Amino acid sequence: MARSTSPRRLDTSVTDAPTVERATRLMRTLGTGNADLYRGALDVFDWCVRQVQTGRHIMATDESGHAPIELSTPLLDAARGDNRITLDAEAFDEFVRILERPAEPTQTLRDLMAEAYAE
Amino acid sequence: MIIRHVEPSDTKGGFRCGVPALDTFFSKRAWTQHNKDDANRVYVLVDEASGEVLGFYTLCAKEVARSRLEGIVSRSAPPHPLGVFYIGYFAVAESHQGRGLGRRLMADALRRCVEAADTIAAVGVFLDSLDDDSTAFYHRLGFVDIPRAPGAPEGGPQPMFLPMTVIRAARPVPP
Repeated sequence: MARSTSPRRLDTSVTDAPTVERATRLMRTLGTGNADLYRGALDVFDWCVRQVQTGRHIMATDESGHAPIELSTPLLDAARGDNRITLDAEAFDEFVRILERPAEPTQTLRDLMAEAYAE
Repeated sequence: MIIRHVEPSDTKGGFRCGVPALDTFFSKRAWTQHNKDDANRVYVLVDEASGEVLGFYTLCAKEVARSRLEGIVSRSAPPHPLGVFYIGYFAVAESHQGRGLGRRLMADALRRCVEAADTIAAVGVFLDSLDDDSTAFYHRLGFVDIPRAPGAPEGGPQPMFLPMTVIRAARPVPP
């Protein structure tokens, strides 16, 4: 995570193992260091945020322009500012399936709700 | 222990859960989002005797929509976005983890969602799980994984959903 120590300096400290592993892998793949990786990631994310803030979508397609997929993350959804969670077709269909065929409550959930209403 | 709305003094106590992003949110933005922006309601679990914040969670309303970029819409897809409650942040203090406080917070959150759904329509509770332990906890409660978007960052948050019908059905039967 980052903290600003002066207008000209930004110190970062990432401590969770999965993020460190991802960053290390990316640095190895790109042959770059911490600072360049951070600059590159910031370039891309800054651009993405500015796009969604103007109502545009971040998408990827193949060379023919077919099969577009949309990038949606909690941070980009928040940047979009419309309180919308955008799901692609597969995810949205699964969401609808869960709604149409809900499972029975688990015993853990029943126990939890019993505690909730006992208070 | 009590669960109540966050207060300014809560955020100055150096809350640490082990996930820097959650700690930063709580110390820097929780009060503003709760009190000024109305972006989240922030609930804290507090030790009444010491005033220590043992955990917190946030709730807000969102809508789930299908990406408009894809042309084929399944027949079962609803025509409009669907309202959900969203647990955006959920954390237990590092020094108090393993004591069942997460259960206590989640029980409170789901009860509030059920009660709020009597006033504002919502089809369920949505959240993004940050790690495997949390995902296992949510699975035990019946949360179902929502597939991540193709190309989503590896190791990124896992979207999960629990329908309101399931939560309501889990409520205790009145005597």
